[in-house]
Amino acid sequence: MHRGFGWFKGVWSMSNSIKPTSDTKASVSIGSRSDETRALADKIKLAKKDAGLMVENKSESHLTGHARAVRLGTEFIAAILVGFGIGYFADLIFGTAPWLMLVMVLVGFAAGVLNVVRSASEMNASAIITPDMDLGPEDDDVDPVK
Amino acid sequence: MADPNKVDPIHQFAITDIFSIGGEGGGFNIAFTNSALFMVITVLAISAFLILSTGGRGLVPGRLQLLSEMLYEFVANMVRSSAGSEGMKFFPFVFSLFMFVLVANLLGMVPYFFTITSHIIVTFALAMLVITVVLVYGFMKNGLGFLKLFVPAGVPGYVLPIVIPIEIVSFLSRPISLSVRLFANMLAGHITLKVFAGFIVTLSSFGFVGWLGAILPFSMTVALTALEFLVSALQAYVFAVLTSMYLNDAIHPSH
Repeated sequence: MHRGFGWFKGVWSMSNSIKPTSDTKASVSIGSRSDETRALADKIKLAKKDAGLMVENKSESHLTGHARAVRLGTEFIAAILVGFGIGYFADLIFGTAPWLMLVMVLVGFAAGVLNVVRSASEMNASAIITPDMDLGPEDDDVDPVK
Repeated sequence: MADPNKVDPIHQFAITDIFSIGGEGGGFNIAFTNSALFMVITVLAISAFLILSTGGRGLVPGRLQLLSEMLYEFVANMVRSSAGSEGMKFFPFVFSLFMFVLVANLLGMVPYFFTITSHIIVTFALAMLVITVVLVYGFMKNGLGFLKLFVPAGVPGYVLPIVIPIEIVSFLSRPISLSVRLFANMLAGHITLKVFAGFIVTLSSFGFVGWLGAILPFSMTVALTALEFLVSALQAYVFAVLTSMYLNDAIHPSH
């Protein structure tokens, strides 16, 4: 994934240097530039597919924000509920109320965080990165303030 | 809803018996409920659509045949991308689940129709089916090696007593989150829809000003209906994607 993204950046800066950079033209050229990049990306995608190199993009990339939010929310809550349930019934069996429940709620909490982190990283890995996305600084970026 | 000014948004989820086999005295009583009726309708609708649309077997597909071929392609790509080509042996399973949830959700959008996926017992049964398949196939294929699923690679031994319970709880939470997600989306969506539609009725009883004011909840209802169609399709998709991802764990248990 990361390599693909680096490639995108290369094309991005390449077309950047070719295009004239006046402010009025900037907005126009952004549109055409991303169109160009997109067309090129499609071409490369097709070529890769033909060569059998392409690992199909993991799904979920076109989920809406709503679906993502609901997914993360339920993943988190469900783990806590399961932890609580296990602890509660273990307490009933062993007669140790409320200690096992307390411990298992904490374990459930940890599992919930694990679930959320896991599904968030899945979403990140399957995200389609377009050239107009702001992805924050890279390692080799120079801070202009310093 | 006898009183037109009193709207009960929960009423739509009521389960009623249509007929039942076995009397009260006989010790058992199997009721055919409206939920069961709509499950039958869903299955019949799917079967009828798929059989009729692919019946022509045209080399150049017509519109309907194209639609069912696209559904096939869609689910097949989904299974292939998340569970690998080995996962394709589960294609019929995932496709059935996807179609069932999708058609059930969409049928629920028809006025006066019952939404079977708005009951947690239905979605939980579907989720347990998925997890049972994952467990049975995982142990069949990998034997005890399936338990490696709970032991992430590269974790030092002394952390394992903490990590393994967390992984197990995380695994056990899957059927819960799978079922709660679908159920909560459908339930909440249909209640919101009914509440806003109810505002129209309540407002319009205030005469002309009420009628004018009712435009607001009416436009909201229209927008929500569109959103609910989106959610119906999306939740069916999410259910199927997660199913194939869990099946992937059964096929390749190491993280």
